[in-house]
Amino acid sequence: MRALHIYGTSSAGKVRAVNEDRFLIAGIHENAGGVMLHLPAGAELVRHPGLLVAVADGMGGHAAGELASRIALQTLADQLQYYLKPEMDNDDVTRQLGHLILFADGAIRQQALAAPEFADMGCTLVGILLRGENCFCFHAGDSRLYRHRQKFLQQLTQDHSPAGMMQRRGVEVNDPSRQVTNCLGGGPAGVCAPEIKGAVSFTSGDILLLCSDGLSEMVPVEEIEQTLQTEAPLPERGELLLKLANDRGGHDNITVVLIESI
Amino acid sequence: MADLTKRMPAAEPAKRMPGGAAETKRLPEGFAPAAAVSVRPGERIDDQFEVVKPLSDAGGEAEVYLCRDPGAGREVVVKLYRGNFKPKMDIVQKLKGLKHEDIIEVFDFGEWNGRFYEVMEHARGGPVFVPNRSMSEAQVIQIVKEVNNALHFCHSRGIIHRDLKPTNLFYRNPDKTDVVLGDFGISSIMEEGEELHKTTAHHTTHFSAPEQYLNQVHPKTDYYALGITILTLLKGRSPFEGWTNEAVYTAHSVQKVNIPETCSRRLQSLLSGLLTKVIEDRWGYEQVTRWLNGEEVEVRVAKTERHQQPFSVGPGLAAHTLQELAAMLHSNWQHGLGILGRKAEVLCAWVAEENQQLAKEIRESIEQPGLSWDEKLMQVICWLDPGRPYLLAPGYSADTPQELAQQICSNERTWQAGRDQLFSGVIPMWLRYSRFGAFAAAWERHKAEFKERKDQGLDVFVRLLDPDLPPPRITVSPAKLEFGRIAAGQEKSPSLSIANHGRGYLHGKITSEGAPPGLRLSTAELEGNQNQVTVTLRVSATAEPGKQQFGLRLKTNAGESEILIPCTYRVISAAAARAGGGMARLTKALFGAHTRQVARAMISGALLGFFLRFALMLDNPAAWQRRTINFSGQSWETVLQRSLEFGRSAPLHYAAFFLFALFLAGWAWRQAARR
Repeated sequence: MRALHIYGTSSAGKVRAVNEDRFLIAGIHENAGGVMLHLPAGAELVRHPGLLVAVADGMGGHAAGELASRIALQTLADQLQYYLKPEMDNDDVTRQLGHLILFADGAIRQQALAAPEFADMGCTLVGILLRGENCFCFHAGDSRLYRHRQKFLQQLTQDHSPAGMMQRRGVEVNDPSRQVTNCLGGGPAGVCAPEIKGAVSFTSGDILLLCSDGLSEMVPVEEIEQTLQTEAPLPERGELLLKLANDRGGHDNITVVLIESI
Repeated sequence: MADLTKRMPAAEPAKRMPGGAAETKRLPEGFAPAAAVSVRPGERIDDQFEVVKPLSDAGGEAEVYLCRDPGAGREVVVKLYRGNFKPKMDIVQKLKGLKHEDIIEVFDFGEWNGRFYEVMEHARGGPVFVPNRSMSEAQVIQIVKEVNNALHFCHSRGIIHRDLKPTNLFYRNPDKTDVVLGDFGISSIMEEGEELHKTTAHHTTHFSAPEQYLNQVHPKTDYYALGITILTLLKGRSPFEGWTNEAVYTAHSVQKVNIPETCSRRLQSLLSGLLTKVIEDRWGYEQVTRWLNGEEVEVRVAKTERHQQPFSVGPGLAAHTLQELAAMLHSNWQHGLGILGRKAEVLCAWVAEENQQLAKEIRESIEQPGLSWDEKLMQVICWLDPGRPYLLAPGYSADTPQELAQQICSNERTWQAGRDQLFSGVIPMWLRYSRFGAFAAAWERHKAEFKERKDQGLDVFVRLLDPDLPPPRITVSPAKLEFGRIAAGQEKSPSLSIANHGRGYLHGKITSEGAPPGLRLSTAELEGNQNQVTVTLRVSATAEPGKQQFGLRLKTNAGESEILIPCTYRVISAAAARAGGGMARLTKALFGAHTRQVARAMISGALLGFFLRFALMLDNPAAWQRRTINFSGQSWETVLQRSLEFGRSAPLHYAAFFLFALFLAGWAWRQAARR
């Protein structure tokens, strides 16, 4: 098992007043500032239940989006230990992660009944679970997981959107409509069908990047690569990415989580 | 519309983006029930429209109310949009004047409490579609007829509906005979002369034509939606009910939408025509009208052996087949690396359309640690097109290892390319996957040895590929090294130039044989096709005067594996050197460092001038006669005077001498520069 450096940061961007994004690092969820975590090699947490890192991008307007992403991440953080058992194999974990995310979806829907302005609230979700030597990845919506390896940043998740569907068929489309076809909550029209992958290769020297579309829509991949390749400490690289997105307009909330394997 | 928006708080300024679509994140519409309502029956919207009841078929985009308009004395439908949603004004303006018997009329629009609303005609017959109630073919055909007219009317005015679906069809009259098309909420105005245009549309997945996934809209997009609408009406529910969005997408874009066999043949042909994926082949107004008139209309099913959508390798590089993809990746190496590194998933997805197993192998290869990106790319290229020739550089493409070896040796550029590609592992990868694996294995044994001496390695490699290649051809200049006289205690440093005038890369060693202790070589290693070796010989102060000799031995990879260069020098005593020193200093002061060249130039110049002088006179024997100078018995003054006269009277000769002097000066200068 390897040592890990994890840094998460989030900003409302330059246009919006409220940050509906949120990130989760091992039980801590935040939608501002930076959270840094060093995990030594062989940390007990990674063995069981696993290190959960996730990003959620709220939708539904104003307070609702903020609430939805908060509920989603809080639920994941609270419930993970009850969904996973030490003896579970990879298939079990994959299946249980799916159940856990659907549970979070249910939690949002339940809250949505509380007030009409929350009726349509929902959020996208992307995350990883590092458990032992395995890395599971899950997502619903257009928040993304990238892996930086040997100078290239590879997108490991395909958006749940019309453009993402085209990508899954090998066709790249520029779709500015920003529809999502999959999310947690989202009112009557929202469909939650999280996509979960086991055995994501994550080896020493790799950096995983979890981000909301506030980063991926604003900053070209090449620039993110350059930033990640610098020698600066992880928090500086994270903040630099945030700054790049803000410098380019910061039209949306921006969240960046970097996980470096040493 | 049940869509979900990531809206900005009202306090913030609206972003200046067309349609405001870019800042909202939406969910595509299913058959969602009404969302919450904010106006109660009896209350008034904008002080004018008294709400009778909310209508149940509203979506998330807006609330829809049946209202009484006391001013006009009629019942109207008011669509009250949520939040800061604003439909495009130009559309609403255009729709306001859009009157057709098959279209719901838009009376007015306005803003109330910061919310946009639309006032529309109330279709008294209610919605056409009732969930789980299937329709007869005759009913459906009647609907097709009216929708066809409505669409034709809209399209001719540059409006694409883009959201045609059963819930947008209404009966105008209570006896439910007159069908009208409503809800142009997200229609956009077509630019004139621009048939297929990009838009920021959001679309209803179940009714989306394949091109809508590419973010394009065409009038025939509405006809595709009509096809799905017919299927829905016949069945009483969507043909995709319970499907995931991905599955629906696949059905629209790649597979065939299933047409029930219970339909009549006639209706089946209509559905096939409407659900054609290729826009050009899809039925439009003309075909549907002919079909309605009972004519036989051709259904064109595209024979797509190729991928439906090409894979984009880079700007202007669209690959349609695996072979094309391989070729483009190979000739655009940097783009190829970027695609492999960043978009491996997209690449594999595209390949999987044609060959799932191959896509799986490629995915595994990309994930595989240990190989460099260059090696991985070559591997992928070889898998995509196993018979592919090797592309060394633009214009250099080799089918066999022998050809490749010859091309590497063509020039400096191909040599460099070959060296880089050999040591980045690209060439061995090609050999391995194109039935020349034995060469790759042979090279594998040598590889480590030449890590630091890549050119040598490449030379070994090309000889490995083609043993018939000639070895380098060595030339040594000068062939004999003469130091001349060296005073005791002094030194001289002439240079040897050792070059390869054949193919390949020259390397070897230079050693001395029988040399005095004062000999130093600037290098003992020969590397590359141009070598300059400075041989410094220092004679000891106690050396005996006299002629001496030794040899320099070259051991190289060239054809003649060993060459001996004889070297001679003469030791003179220090006193003798000083005696000859005065003359040497003078010539040096006069001619700089190039005494010997200048002297040689002057002698050959004089000889050539003498020859020219007579040659010029030969063409005129009379002149020859006249100008011949007889110097015998003349005083030296006379000789000089007659010589000058001779020169004056012969400007041609002067010119010849002048030109020749110029040539001499140039030649001497060039010689000097060369040293």
